[in-house]
Amino acid sequence: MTTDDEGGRDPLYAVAGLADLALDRAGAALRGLRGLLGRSDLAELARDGQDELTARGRLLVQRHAATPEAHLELLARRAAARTDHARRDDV
Amino acid sequence: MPYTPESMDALRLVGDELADATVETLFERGEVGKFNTLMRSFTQVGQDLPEGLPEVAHEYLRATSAPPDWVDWDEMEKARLFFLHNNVHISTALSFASMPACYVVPHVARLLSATHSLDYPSRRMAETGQFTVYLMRPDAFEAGSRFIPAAQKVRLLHASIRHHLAREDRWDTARLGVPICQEDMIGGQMMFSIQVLDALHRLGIPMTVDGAQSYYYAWRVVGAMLGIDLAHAPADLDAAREFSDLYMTRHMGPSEEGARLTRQLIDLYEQVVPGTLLDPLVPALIRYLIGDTAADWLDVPRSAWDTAVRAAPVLLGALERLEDSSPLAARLLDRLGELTTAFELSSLTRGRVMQYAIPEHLKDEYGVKATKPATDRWTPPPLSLRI
Repeated sequence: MTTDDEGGRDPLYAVAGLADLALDRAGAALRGLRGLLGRSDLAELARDGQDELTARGRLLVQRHAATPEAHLELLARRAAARTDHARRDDV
Repeated sequence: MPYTPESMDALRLVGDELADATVETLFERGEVGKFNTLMRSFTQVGQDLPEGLPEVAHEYLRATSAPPDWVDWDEMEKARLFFLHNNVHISTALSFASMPACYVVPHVARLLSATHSLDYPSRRMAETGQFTVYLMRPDAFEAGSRFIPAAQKVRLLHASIRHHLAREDRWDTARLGVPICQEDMIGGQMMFSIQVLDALHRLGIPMTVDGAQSYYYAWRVVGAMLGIDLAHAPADLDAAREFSDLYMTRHMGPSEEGARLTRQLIDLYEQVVPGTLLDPLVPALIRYLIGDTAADWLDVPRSAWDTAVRAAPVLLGALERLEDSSPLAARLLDRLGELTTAFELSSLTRGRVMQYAIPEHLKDEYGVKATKPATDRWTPPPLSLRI
């Protein structure tokens, strides 16, 4: 993830943040359903929506930055470097 | 036991003695057709063996009719619960990480292309999926089990591929060793075990140490039943990291066959995904899971979705949180997982195999639930220092 350009990331985080929020709301709604007329977190979430979205966005940026590289990518680079090296030795 | 290029080279010369000898005898005596016809109806443990089965086949089926006596059944039950809990994610990893990992090893791609029945990934995928589902059933090793006969047949299938490739001069034995040799069988075991866990980690799926270890253990049992020599198979996840990394870096690279098989896999899943809007999601997910270098080797097309799919860990993480926070949501997501697996498998087999549901007997009867204590979260071992 270190090689990615920053510019392309914003829309991704916005979408992910919204989806993240939507899923949490779904969870709150499900909990609300279980309690039937009990207090639902949905309304509270809606009130704080703007602030929460911003905070979530920030968290997502941090979490996303920590996503590890595909392990196979690390191996493929090793394998490619080895092949290049062998080719240079042949010349 | 540390793995070295030399120790791996030695494994390239060894096949599967018991299955190879069985297949050789069947061919020598011209009994292969008879065997295949009779075995078609033998699908469950406890069934009487068909009458007229060649004696050598009887011996083979007797010798392989039971799981290894060292199996720890508590560990297998933990593996089953891990599989149940991560059902969809494991299917995703098998489809979009393990299969391309097979294709990125050129001689494996060549072998898959050269063997007629494996030419289309749908059949291969369905067989792998079906095999895993059979394995994870609570009665996998008891009377009525479909897993043991499936394993017995796969082992003979591998032996027959060895037999044909060697005789038809379609395999460079001097350069590549025996087809489906011990190194490749263990390599395959790694693709379906530790590399699946790598993919789950990449998808942001939280795993416990216990869960990851038991999942690996189940594949170790499967490996033994498929003819892998346990003296050489990695005993735990750290050894698996070492073997897997060395195996992949020794062999991985581009090939025409690998690119063609990948194209078929992508086409297949684009047919399975309804509509065309989400079609680019499949190559994007493959690229995300295996990385750009291997994806380029396999000619995985690039698209705008390559960026979007990076949100997968965030979305899946959110689903996991939702599952943890609400029992009702957990049940809905479990059900969704079952449906997705059933849908994937029935699409792949075009409805030929009807029973895919993974029963949850223990969950219901004993209230056992796969819990994920945050305190012992598992992450894959880092890159092996031996490569």
